[in-house]
Amino acid sequence: MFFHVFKYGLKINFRVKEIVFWAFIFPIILGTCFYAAFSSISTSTESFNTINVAIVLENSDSDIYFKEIADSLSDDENDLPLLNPTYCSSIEAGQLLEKEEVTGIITLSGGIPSLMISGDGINESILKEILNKYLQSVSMLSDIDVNDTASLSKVLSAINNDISYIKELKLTDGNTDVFTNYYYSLIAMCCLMCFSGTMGSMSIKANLSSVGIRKNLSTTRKSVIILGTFMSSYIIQAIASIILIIYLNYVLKVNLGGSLPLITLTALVGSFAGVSTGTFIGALPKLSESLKIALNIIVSLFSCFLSGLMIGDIKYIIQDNLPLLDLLNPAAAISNALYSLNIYDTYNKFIQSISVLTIYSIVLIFTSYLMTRRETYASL
Amino acid sequence: MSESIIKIEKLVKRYKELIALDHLSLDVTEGEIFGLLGPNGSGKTTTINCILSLLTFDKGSIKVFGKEMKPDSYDIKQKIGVVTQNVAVYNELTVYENIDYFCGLYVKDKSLRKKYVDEAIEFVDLRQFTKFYPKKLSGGLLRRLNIACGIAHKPTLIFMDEPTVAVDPQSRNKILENILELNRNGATIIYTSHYMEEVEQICTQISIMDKGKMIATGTKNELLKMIKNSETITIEILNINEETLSNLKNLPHVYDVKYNNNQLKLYYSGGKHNLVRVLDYFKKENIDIGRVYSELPTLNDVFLEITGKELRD
Ligand SMILES: Nc1ncnc2c1ncn2[C@@H]1O[C@H](COP(=O)(O)OP(=O)(O)OP(=O)(O)O)[C@@H](O)[C@H]1O
Ligand SMILES: [Mg+2]
Repeated sequence: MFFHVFKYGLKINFRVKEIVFWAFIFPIILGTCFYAAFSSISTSTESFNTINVAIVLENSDSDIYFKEIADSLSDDENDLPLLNPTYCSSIEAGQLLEKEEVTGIITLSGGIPSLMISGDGINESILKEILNKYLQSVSMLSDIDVNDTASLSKVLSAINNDISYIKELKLTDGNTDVFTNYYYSLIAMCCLMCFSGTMGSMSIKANLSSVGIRKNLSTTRKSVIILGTFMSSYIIQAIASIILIIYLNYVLKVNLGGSLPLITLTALVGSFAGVSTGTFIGALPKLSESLKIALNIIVSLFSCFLSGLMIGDIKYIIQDNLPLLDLLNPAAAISNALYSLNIYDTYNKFIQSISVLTIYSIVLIFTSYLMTRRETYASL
Repeated sequence: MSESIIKIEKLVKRYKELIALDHLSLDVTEGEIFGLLGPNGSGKTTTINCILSLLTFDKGSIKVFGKEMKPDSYDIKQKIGVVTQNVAVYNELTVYENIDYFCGLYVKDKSLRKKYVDEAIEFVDLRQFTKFYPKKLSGGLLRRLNIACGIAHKPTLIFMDEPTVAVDPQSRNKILENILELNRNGATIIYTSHYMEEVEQICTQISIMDKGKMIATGTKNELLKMIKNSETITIEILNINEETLSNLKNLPHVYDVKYNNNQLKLYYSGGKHNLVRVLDYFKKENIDIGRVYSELPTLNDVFLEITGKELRD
């Protein structure tokens, strides 16, 4: 009986146009749009890689530290140096900034650099960050013996490392990394937008569909019908998310970071969460059919919105201010899992996200079962 | 000989303030085609849903096959087939797949299921349409599919909730024949309708409902005997005077006489030779008359006399 319900569930799901569109076609379209939009942005940001900066020196001993850092950041050994400094007077520097030939002016006074910028683009913020790092390190530096060259060079190299880390981060940021998060959210959306789950669980309820009446009166156990229906929705969702990953990875050649099998595993667990969410919404009492479909869209899109599908920064705002929401939001859990595969060598964060998704799914399925099992209604 | 299959006692069902079923009692015995006749909103579907224990109810008791029906009463469920008032099929499945799907919720064995599905298709005469999707079927064919989905697993107690609504006369006759055949093959049938002609035509036992109350129960003849009227004679006549009218009123068994639009109506309660008598009267008085016809009372008259309103709106 399970297989019977499952087989027909699949047939029905693949024949409902809305399910096919939202599960298979919509994510591909959105992915393609992302790709088109991001590739035009990243070509226009290529020239941002090397930042022109005017540096006004004081011509005293305390200049050396900053000069050394600046020089190492404009080192020719790097394929793409971060900085292209012009040493000049403050008047010349002012003119350069006015003509927009430099992004900013760094003026040293008593060994302490200060920054003047006229815009607020990525380059400006990179300069700010370099300066902040330098100032932080300098405050440490003042505690140690300036004459001890060994410790001096140690600290210098620490600053240097720090700054080259920023550089690396920012350099890749300008191209793909910041966009990769959008693809993660897209995969999350593909997993979570599960109409088949909602429709499937509504079709079991006698008060929502007339086929539900037949199912309620049949001799097949409710749990078998629920499970068969659930599995048929799951297959749809899993296939859809795998197709999306294949499309992103092999067709658009987006670098998703992390190993493909683990990315796929994330999508499979994510789909599980998606079908559970859909099933849960379908099983809710009282609400009408169309309201549930609407709720399905709202919940999945809102959850993806919070994970940065539309505005990337939202994710960080939530992470900083509402960490619990970020932890429990299934879309964030999916994109966090993918992100952690990309960033970390250890699997702690990944396992944490996957566990959250699994527990979330099990709780929802069980609750849906309790809500659907009841066979007598006050009103049909 | 025959045992009670459904027994409802003093059933009360409320939807908030609305009393949908008001101390309704009924008894269906094996082998009957039990007709539930009532106007729209009288509570027919509600009654069926309560029997099937899909709906909770406020008071009273319902026994099906002598037992209370529970969610896990699979032995009872196996014997029940339902043809819902709203067509209950999947638009995404073909005619064959729909029947197979619902039959498969009752019948595990594959070859037996195939046999049952084929028989159901033959039964409702949808052989040519097995690959059609429901959207492509006409109203009548769709109703037949709905019937096939409800009866494929060979139930012995079949609920049919207005299976002929919005169906052309040809399909309707086919459906009525189907019902009679199911009954001949041993099934007990609960049939609801607001078409009295259908109920008169096929039902062996009839209950008339109005506003959630059972107003009369019996065979067609028993119901007709409950009312005063036994015959209505209509005569076309151009002019008639007061004297003739009062003379007619004094004919034996006449209890009322009405004349308008050149039509004279005589209402009888009892009597065997009413038509002959009235024709004799006109001949004797030398009054010209047009067409004459006599009608026996229908269930509509029963409904009219008990509730004071027409069954059909
Ligand atoms: N879910 C519900 N909520 C509130 N009232 C309801 C509900 N279902 C039915 N009713 C009301 O209960 C009464 C009986 O309805 P029911 O559907 O049983 O009538 P019916 O005899 O089957 O009518 P029809 O011939 O139109 O099918 C009606 O007044 C109807 O408006
Ligand atoms: Mg009804």
